Amino acid sequence: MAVAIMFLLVVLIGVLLHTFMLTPLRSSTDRQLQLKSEYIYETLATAWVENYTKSYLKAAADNLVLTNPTVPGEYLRSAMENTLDYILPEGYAAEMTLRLYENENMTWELIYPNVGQPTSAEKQFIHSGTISVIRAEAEVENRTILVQATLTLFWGG
Amino acid sequence: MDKKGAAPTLAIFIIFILICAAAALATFQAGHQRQVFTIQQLMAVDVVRATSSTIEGELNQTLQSAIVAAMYEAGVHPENRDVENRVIQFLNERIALGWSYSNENIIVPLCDENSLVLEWLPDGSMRARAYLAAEVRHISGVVANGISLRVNVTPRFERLKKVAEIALDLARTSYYPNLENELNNNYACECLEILIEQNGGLTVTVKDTFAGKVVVT
Repeated sequence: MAVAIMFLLVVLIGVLLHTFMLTPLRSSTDRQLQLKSEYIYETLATAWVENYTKSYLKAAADNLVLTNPTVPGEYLRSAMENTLDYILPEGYAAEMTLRLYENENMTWELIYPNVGQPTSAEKQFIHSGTISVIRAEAEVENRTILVQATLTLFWGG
Repeated sequence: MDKKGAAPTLAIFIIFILICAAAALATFQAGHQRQVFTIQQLMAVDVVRATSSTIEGELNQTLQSAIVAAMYEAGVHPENRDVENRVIQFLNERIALGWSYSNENIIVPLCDENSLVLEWLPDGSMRARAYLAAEVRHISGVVANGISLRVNVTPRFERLKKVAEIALDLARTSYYPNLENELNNNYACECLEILIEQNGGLTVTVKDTFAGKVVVT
């Protein structure tokens, strides 16, 4: 009888432990952070830099491609940092990288807060997209300028 | 008496334990698999939705950029003032380059005059609307369909063209000593700046100072 009761207790405790298992919870947290990285990317892709009718990512692409961009580089960095400060989850940092397809050495990068590059050991939530600029008076093959934009969300400590 | 019944009772309990443990294990595994599958499907839904939204956002900006570039080209090439076909061509050139995302197959059809509606507004600016039957398919089978584009472009191309033609006609046929100043005074309220130059031929440049760097000659 005592063995039977002990066994039933073991089964009940097993069920309870399984119910409170943290794996699904961790997955849900990861999903929330992945959604957050997408949300931050979309915010930067659609929200305009104050006083300019250009989105943050379009302005950053202009800074990468054009000799005389509409939004000055330093002002853009400051404005983007202010926005990221507002929308980043607490304790997390974001790295925004723009890279020209034609020339991978041409990059524009911003890490906020400035905690350095994320290490491979850290869990990273990445969302990437493309920004295209149509060049007037250009040959067909050079008309579309493509810029790869990648946002990496990681734990900044 | 008790000792005699102990061995069969223990055997029955052991069998009972094994059966219950196996049932519990199977239930736990099935539950866990269901949870993992649900999370995977939700992640796939998030991914295709985010990709679709990113492409939509990019194409909206591309369309805006294409309209401004088409207006500029139409302005500096008086022999071909067709803005609409240029916009379709420029946008299609971007679509033809395609998109590459891991674990996703993306199909965006080229646009034409049926899927892309370009409307000239009364102030000479343009509004564009489009629905592209795009498909973003995740390897798990989740699909996002359709991309909608909606863009309003501020440069008042048709108005600039009209003013440029009026200014050119006046500069050719009439004699006004301060024609440029007169025109600038007349159109200042529309935020238009007019420049008349005699460099071998007559060149009229109209700038939309309200909207940005758009020039018609």
